[in-house]
Amino acid sequence: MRDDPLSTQECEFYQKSFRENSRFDNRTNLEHRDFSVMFGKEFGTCYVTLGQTKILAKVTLSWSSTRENRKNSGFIEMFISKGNLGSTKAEPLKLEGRHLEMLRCLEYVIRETDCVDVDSLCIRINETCLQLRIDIHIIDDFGGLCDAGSIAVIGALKHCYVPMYETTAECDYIYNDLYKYGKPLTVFHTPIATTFGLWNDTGICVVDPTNREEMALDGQIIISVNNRSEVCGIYQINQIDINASKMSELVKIAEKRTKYVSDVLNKTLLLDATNRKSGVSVKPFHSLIDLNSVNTFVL
Amino acid sequence: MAKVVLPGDFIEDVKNLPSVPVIGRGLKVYKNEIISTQGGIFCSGKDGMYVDVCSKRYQPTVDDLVIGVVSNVMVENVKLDICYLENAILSTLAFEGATKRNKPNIKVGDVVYARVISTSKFLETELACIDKDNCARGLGVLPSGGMVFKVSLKHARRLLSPKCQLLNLIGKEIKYESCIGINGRVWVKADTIESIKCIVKIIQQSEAVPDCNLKEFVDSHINLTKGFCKKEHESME
Repeated sequence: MRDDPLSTQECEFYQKSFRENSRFDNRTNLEHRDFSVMFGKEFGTCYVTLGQTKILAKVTLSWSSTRENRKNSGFIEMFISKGNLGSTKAEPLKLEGRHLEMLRCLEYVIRETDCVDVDSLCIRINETCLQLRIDIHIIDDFGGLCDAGSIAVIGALKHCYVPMYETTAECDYIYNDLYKYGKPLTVFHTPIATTFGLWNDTGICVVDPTNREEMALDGQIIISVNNRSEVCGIYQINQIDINASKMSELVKIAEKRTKYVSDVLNKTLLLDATNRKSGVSVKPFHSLIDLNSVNTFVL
Repeated sequence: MAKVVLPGDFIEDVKNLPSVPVIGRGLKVYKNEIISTQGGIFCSGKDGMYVDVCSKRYQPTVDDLVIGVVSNVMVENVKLDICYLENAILSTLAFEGATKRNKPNIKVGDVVYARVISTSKFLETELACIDKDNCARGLGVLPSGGMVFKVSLKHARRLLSPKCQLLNLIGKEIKYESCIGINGRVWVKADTIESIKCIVKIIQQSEAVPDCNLKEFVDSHINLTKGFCKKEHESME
């Protein structure tokens, strides 16, 4: 299927709103959209809504053999759901465009910056380990995929529990949740991505653009910063011109955003743990389905 | 009369009808029986019958007035995206006063208001910007400076209905131009960006507002845009 084309008048309208610092949804150029985090009934599931973008992330730990190049640690694999529910352009067997960029950006941030302690996932050196599998389902795509995706993945990692296991000289025992409770996954830091849309001719920078605003801008920069103000990754989409002082300003904006998102995530995790301890039933995900809401599928 | 029908429901036998009616949207004649193909509210009159369907995907019909975005410009034809599976074809000679030596200036990305003159499931949809008298009557390339957005098809038909007062209520407060296509695209043009944004939000969010509450809804949104609440407005008067 084809995406809805951006007409010239719509493009000029968005660019004019960028110039006047008053965007279509009444945001200024440096304001983010509201987001909400929701954890599921199973450990390791996190559902994030950023404006109208909806992403579900699920973390699964399974028993596997170690890899040849790293014999004393587990490994992380990330997959993005290839269904066409999230966008009209997403085809079942093809990753292209925004989704591939989102996967590359998140893979780098989660895996290469040592976000998760993969050494503790090793059960027996050179033989068995726990494999961490992260599935990301793009339910609705209204721009800001990396932002919502990073929040969902970090939330799912923090919500995940390692199954309890024992090792003896002859064999290993891995228990399920009914027998023994596990321990939380060790997460060292929480990198959160922030997307900036850039406009080359005027030097205007737009924070958290929607999918229509993305088409009216020249390119994007995705800056991942963790809660200790360390830059974990900078990903650039399309050819854009930016100087060092502008980049440092963007990093400062991303730092403030990361602190806020980390606070909200920690509060939500604490609330979820309190609800589970006191026996309050967790609201299932299907209650969020609203048939009257706007989505990009058959828009 | 109005009743809810589901796909596959039997409506009427063809022989029982007094004259040849118009079998409209959502209905199909199958072996001398009229069967509904879409779920919705069945409406019938003396001229014909149809099903009022709430949907977002557009299906072209002859004599529909649609808004399309130019996606490709060729020598004799222009390809338009009208929210359908395939792009529609619009001949460059189908404009008012257009000849082979005097073709209209159309670029990719322009917004065109056109009429569907031919459609079938085997061929591409054909559009035209003139009627049989070679007059435009408002069709053609829409002027620049506006904003194009999408609403559901049911809402577009509601806006085009003469009973709907939403556009009149907006017009009392803001001076604007608008063009509503039956394919769910709406074009709005006003003096300032704030006015355009206000009108777009009113049209988009009024889908869930019933007709009797439209006046309060429009007043509250326009007051929000002007920056004061209703009480302050009344006290100022």
